[in-house]
Amino acid sequence: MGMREYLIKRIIQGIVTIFVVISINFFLFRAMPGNPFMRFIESQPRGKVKEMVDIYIKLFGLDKPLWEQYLIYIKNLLMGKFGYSFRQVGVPVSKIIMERLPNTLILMGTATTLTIIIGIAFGVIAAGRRGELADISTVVVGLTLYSIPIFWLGLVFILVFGFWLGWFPLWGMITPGKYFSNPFEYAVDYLWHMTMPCTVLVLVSAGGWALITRNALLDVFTEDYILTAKAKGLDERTVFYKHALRNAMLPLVTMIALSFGFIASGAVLTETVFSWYGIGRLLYEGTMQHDYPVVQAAFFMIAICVIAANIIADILYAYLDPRVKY
Amino acid sequence: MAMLEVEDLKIYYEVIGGDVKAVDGVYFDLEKGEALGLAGESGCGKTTAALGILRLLPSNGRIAGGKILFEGKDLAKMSEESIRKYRWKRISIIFQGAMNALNPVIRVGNQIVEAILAHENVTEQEAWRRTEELFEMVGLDPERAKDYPHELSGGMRQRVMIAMALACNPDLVIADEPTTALDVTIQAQVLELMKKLQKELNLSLILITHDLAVIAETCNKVAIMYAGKIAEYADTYTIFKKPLHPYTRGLIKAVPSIKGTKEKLVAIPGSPPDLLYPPPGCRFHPRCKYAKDICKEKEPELTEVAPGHYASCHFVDEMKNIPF
Repeated sequence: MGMREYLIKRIIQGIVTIFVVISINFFLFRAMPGNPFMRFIESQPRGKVKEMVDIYIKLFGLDKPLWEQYLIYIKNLLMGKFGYSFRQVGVPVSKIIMERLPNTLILMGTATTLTIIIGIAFGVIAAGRRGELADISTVVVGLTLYSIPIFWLGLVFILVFGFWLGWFPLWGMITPGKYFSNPFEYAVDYLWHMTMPCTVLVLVSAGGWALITRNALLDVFTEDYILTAKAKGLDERTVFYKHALRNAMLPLVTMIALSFGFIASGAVLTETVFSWYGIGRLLYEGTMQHDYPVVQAAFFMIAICVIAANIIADILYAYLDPRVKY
Repeated sequence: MAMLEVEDLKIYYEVIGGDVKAVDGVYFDLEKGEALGLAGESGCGKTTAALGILRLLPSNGRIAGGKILFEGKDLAKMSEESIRKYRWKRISIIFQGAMNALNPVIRVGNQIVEAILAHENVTEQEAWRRTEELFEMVGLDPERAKDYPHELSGGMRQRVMIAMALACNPDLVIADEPTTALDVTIQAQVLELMKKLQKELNLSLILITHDLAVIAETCNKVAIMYAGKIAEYADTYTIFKKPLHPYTRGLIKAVPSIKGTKEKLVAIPGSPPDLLYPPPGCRFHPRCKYAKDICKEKEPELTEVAPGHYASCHFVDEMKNIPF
């Protein structure tokens, strides 16, 4: 089977997977207890509650049988229509998502890139100095960070660096009410707000990356071809970088591609703790508020990204490892 | 002075609970063009001794004593920098599993070119030309140099290893179980090739194997190792026809012979000792049917019983009278 056939096969598989994901999403949210309009109605004047609920239920077609709603949903999706938010009445879902997506991509893109670079670097250093202080500290610190709940670390950062020391803003993405004379000032303010959530994300995930990189390298060190490389009289650098690292990187490449696929999903906990206006927090809000169209659309987008990342990972792997055949 | 002289070599592995004395006082020497067989059961220290010569021991292993004189220079005491110049250029090694001894993500030709470029002052093109010559020498199509290891069969991979071992025209090749992972017909081909190349190139060869038949066919002399020590050391004919050490005799009797008609195979009872706590006295005494009290107390020395024939047994003289 050639590359083309393989790609076509994988894309068809991907489409089927996406279809399964959106179907599960559709029924999952509707199986949740509660009514999408309850909280909304609570804020209305008394007396008209029943009528208001009925109007909205009819307006969004929720009076139709579930299977009919599903068919309409699929039909609209195929036509590229994601519908309107239940909560922000009249606002298209695509607009809400596009508003949030850049914030998440900037935060998660930066955090993921830094995580991978820092994690792998520490893993390489640790494996190269096995048993020495650098290795032991990497393992201890890595395991500790790996086990810390991210929301807790976020709260500690807010308390220490935000509240006590006052170095960074407590929440949000932009200083409210501040006037920016040029885009550069705006960017600086934005990055200043991003520092804490980004640092927390990097700290918590880099530990795992360092441990995985270290283990992958140590595994490769025991392979016979490393002994052959040494026996050939190659210097340690060549043995390490040309023979060991290249083989150890193979499993990591898949993980790198996959973690970039998850960038669009945002960081639900971190974004919530730091009030970051991104996809993660949107998912949290949408779920709490029964905003089906928003959550469904967000999951649809995430599914596409993750599945695409999977396909890219497989292609990359096949390119890097000559043993992999399509 | 012989090209390689190994004197009282001791290699210990540090483990929890002490040192494993994997090689504990090993002697042998090798002239230019000679082939030495190093035989013994699994775990007797053959591979450790081989790795020790090139100082390729795992990180918990160390040379605890003795000398490895190569052309009079002691490899055991050399700096890492200096030993690297001996590796492959003067002494190369062929490992057991050619399956894993080649890097899976680098083309086999490039792996040989890399070795040539590390030691010779040639261009990459010249190194490739040399690689193609080597491929022809070991009976491989030079086109296959562009293949990855997984695209070759086990026998072809071992031929690649042999070609690689010869890349820098070494004086000594150490072959550690070079045919063990291959099936029997391929084993014969690979052995034939090694014998031929050894003669043609006047190579010195240390052949490590537990297969005595392979040694009988290939080597000029044999060192039988038991539990980290040399049990017996002599020319191949003497070892196979007039062995004196009870262990050597047991080892030879445990191998079926095609000519021997319906001779019963005799296994050596027991198993090799734990080298963390080797038995006192002669290390073989718990399994030796001739063992007396002295064997449990005093360690026998490797003594020359006839010119060029060494054995470490308290009862070598008596053994001469017990027919083999």
